[in-house]
Amino acid sequence: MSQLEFNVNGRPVRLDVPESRYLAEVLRLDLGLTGTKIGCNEAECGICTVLVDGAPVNSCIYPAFKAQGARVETIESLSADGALHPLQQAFLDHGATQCGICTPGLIMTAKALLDEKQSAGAPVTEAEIKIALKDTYCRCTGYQSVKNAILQAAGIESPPYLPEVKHPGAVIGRPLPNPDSRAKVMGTALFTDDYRFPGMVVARTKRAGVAHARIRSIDISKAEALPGVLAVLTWKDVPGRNLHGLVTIDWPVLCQDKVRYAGDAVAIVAALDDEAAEAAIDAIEVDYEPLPAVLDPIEANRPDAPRVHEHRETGNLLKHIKVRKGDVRAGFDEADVVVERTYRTPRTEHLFLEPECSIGVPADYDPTDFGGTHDPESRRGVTHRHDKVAVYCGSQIPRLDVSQIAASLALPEERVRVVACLMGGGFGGKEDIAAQIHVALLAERVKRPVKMLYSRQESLLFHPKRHGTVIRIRTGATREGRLTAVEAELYGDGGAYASLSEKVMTRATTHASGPYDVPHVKVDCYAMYTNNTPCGAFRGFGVTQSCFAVESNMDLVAEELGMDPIAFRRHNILDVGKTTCTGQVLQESCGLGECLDWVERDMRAYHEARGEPFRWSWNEGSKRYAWGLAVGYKNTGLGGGAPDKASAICRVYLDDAGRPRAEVRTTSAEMGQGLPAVLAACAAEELGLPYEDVRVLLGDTDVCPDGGPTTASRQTYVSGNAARHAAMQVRDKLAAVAASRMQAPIEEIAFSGGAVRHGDTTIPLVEVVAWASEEQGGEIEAEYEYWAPRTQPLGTGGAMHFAFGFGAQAALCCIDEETGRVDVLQIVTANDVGRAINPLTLQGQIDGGIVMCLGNTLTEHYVMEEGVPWTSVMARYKMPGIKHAPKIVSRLVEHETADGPFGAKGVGELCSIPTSPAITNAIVHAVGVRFLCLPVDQDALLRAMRAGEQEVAQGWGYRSAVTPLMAGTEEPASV
Amino acid sequence: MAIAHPFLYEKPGTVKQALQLLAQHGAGARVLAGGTDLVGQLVDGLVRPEIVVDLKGVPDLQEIRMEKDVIHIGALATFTDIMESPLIRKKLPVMAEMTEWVASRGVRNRGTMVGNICSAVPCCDSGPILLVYGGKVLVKSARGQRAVPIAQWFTGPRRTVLAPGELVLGVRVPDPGKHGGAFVKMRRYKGEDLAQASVTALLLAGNQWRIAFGSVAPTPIAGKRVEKLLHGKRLTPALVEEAVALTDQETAPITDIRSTREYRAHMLRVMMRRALEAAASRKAGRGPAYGTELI
Repeated sequence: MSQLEFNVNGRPVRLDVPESRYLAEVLRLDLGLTGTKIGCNEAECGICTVLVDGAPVNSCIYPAFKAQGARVETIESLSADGALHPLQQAFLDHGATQCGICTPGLIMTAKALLDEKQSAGAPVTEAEIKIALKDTYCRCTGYQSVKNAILQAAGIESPPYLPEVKHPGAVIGRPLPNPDSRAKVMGTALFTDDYRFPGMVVARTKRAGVAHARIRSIDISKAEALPGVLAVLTWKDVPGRNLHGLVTIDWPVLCQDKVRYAGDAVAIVAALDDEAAEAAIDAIEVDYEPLPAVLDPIEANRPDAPRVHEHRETGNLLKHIKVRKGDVRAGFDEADVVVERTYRTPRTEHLFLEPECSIGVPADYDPTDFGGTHDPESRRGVTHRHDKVAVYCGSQIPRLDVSQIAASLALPEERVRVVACLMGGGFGGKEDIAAQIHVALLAERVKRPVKMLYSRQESLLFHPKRHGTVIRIRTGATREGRLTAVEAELYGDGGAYASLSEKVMTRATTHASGPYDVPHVKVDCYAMYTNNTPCGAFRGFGVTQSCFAVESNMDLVAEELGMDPIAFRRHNILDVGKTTCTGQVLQESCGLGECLDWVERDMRAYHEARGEPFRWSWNEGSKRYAWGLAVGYKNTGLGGGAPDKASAICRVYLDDAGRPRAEVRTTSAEMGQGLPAVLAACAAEELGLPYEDVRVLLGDTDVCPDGGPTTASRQTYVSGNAARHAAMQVRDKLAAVAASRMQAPIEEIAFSGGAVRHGDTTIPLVEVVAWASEEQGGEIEAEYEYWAPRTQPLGTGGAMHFAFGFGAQAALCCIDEETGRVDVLQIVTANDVGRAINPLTLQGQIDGGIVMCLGNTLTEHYVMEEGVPWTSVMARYKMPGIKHAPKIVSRLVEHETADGPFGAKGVGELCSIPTSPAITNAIVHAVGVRFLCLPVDQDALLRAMRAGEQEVAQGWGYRSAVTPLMAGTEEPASV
Repeated sequence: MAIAHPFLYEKPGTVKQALQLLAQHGAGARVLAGGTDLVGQLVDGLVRPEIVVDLKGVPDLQEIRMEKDVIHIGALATFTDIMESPLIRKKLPVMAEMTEWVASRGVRNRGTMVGNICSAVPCCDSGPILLVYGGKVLVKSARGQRAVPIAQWFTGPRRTVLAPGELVLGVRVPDPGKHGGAFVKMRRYKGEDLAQASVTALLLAGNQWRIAFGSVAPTPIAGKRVEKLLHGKRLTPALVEEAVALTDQETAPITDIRSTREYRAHMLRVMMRRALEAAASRKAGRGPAYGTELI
């Protein structure tokens, strides 16, 4: 311990801290300034940026003692007097904060730039913003809103980028900041790691580190004996089910007889501090007998392959998924052109910037035992919380976490509470159980709150990724440009545990003929177990992969036919009355044609502005430019016959100042997509209340009804409907009261502008609420359980999904002939979203989805070597930074869907699906090289260009060529 | 995540005190300047020192100054200090150009050039720059002081001639006079340095050239054949192509997970061409401004 004296946010601070502590830790732990976030501990992500003597530094690796005598500024300093700093206001106005975890880092980095420019008396330029922010990452926004916000804060005219909305309502269709954005720009929003409980201790996990091995013995005696160690648990200490899982329950809470991937958990530790916990992990001795590992999904299907799960009847085959429509043999007989290729997509990482964190709080926990006071959170619950074990975590499926924790702890579900906190990004990667069960076990054992915070490196090692796939696809078309048949075979590397592999690969399969009317389709997909890191949900849910294959083949067929790629697609796209490959006849809301029209128009507009005719490609010096295009579609909701429902509570009450307000509650999760904005807008529109007067509470299973999983682009649709209907029921109750007092027919009562109206009579809502409370003896509340339209299982030929989103994208790329570097300069996109509920948050999702998938296309590959990730640190995983972000031109197409809230359907995944093939199709137009694998590596591209090769089958990060596909199980061609 | 390994921390107020600590602890001592490299190694447990000697309390070590014909860069001068120094921008513009491409702003604000050459990783960008400018490393110990030419400084990956008990006070670079130059670094994409190889070219008075390569060998290396070829000649397109062709003989790039040998070799040729052309045009007062991306 030494004394550290410095100035933080204008206040002198003096404290004793250990020499090994970093500035971020001193700020967060010692000073309680949790606005500064930690994302990687590698100085890679930049979200921990604070200013030391005015200069931005990565506080996560900045030794605290280097700040001795310095002046430190954190996000909390910007709005110390309650008023927002211009940067904070601009981030709000532009929707430049989504999940919010990187927001403090982005704002502080930008502040240093603006301060510097201001003192030099010079205006800030876009180029300077890009240089200053190039190492401060954001995974949600796609940076367009961030850049515009910084320009605005610098006093340069730069309005938020908003696509046009067809029929805005009072609230619906209006650009409004997410209700939680203010706290996020101020740094006061609490993520899981920001919660502190008196008496809280820390936890760590002992991970396998090897891909496949039998456990001979686990010796924890040395670890238990270490000072500061409170508990060391193994499989023997799991009182209930020692497994978890979302569909198939096959993932050990703590491994007993063998480990199946390098990230498997073998033991967990609770200790007084990090040092003791680390030492305990090192002292646990596990004796392994190495087993041969299976690391390739195609080899995994061979009868002699090592078994990942010994007792499964189907061996390593998790699921064979089939789509049959018509007779593909006949379809190919009709074709004049047939194209077949095998594509490959890599395992990729969500890289949500907040690593997983869980806090377990034991039943009967009393903070006063540890010198604390009762925390205000405990007042949230309507039930008595102290007989429950509580888990605070970032989770996309809080209600299911309750069931899984209860099963493993052998507790009734009523004894478990999950408080899903704000998530610093999820993208599908926070659906599986992380440490929720572990912290509950440890908390119950040591009878103290226990926090398990994963390091970035542990997060990379442990959590399920996007599936690596091999997709062989054969497409046939007539000379006139009509598709006749698609036949495909897919292999998905699901890794060691099932996670959502079956569902993800089903979605890849059912979308494998693209958004086209294809008369004859046969698809076989094999979801495989291997000893790699498990794969599960990731924005796009399998469709990202199959779309890459489908849309690459579409361009190849168009080229063979000598047809324009847009015209060829237009001949074949799905529309109302057409049938998908699973036999679903589309009844409504299919705006793909309009999306294509917009994209074509905007591509042409680019050239018109330059006073030249449209062209797909051109050269300037050593630079080759080209457009590429792709379309995509994505189901909204679970589909396939799964019951799909969400519940919400709406409550109207008078606040302390006597103002009428509404509250919406559900367990559905916010991870940066803007759900609170949607729910608040739905309720505000129905209640005639100002948007600002609706608050949204998410994720606490004690007080929120079940909104179901936040997955499958479903929340706007299902929870939006639940919130809307709950608000309508509340409105009906108020209307009944108003009608009787106003002596008017109930159907003539209207709600708008915070008032209740009948003819010329207007009564402030506050009075009606008071009357109603008086009559009903309390607050006016309604709970609504919304059931989405029924769907049918795959294979029945019925409607598998109740809605689909459709989209088109064109990418303008520039390729440096001498270096192979690919720059994406612009994306023009149009998306059929049914109805835009909030164009600000909607555009944020579109921008972010595009840039996320730009990374998927150009740089991202979670590389594994012999079952152990080479991508072990963030520095080895390159996600797009602000310098990669293209200009995005976006159009909304609003073909309303009958049952969606105000006609809306999902967009969260859709927007990222066509990006990869749009870019690779552009590369073909530019330099004549087609990538059959992702990511597009500039090294492989340049070598292909120089060698005159037209196709690249093995790009960066793949250790070997594609294993030859085995013939699928013989099936009759027609079913 | 904190550093789990405990160590003593000292912040001496003078060079003399620092040297005493280093003499006392020998190989068990590690010197902390910016900490961008050392801290990472501490976190990963790659080094486990008894004591960390923080130089930040030693006055004057952050200075960048001109003494007669020599530019002195103190051990605590950060990459940002160098990048923003009017003296460096005027006298050693290629050094300023290099610093703009070091890691991120948050790292440049802490990381020092002296720390960079002391950690001596093969991708150290300061090495090639000091090679072309003929820099010397000023080393002091309880026994005395010596100046090591940078060409003799690196002995292998993460290895230098620095002995236990010795402290680097700074680097000294002779004023090169009027010159032009370019630092070109290969990146997978803008601002990212996955593949890391670099070419540095310097054109001095009398058509004397200095060439250096980074990340193509265990240590930064000089491009002697290219220097010899170009010596005293006016740069012509044909001469550029001859120099480019020689690049293959100067370097022996490897294939690893980040990049292939073939691509690295090709890129070294592209970088050589762009560096020579930019250096010549910059010396003539034309050409792209220093800091412009050349690749």
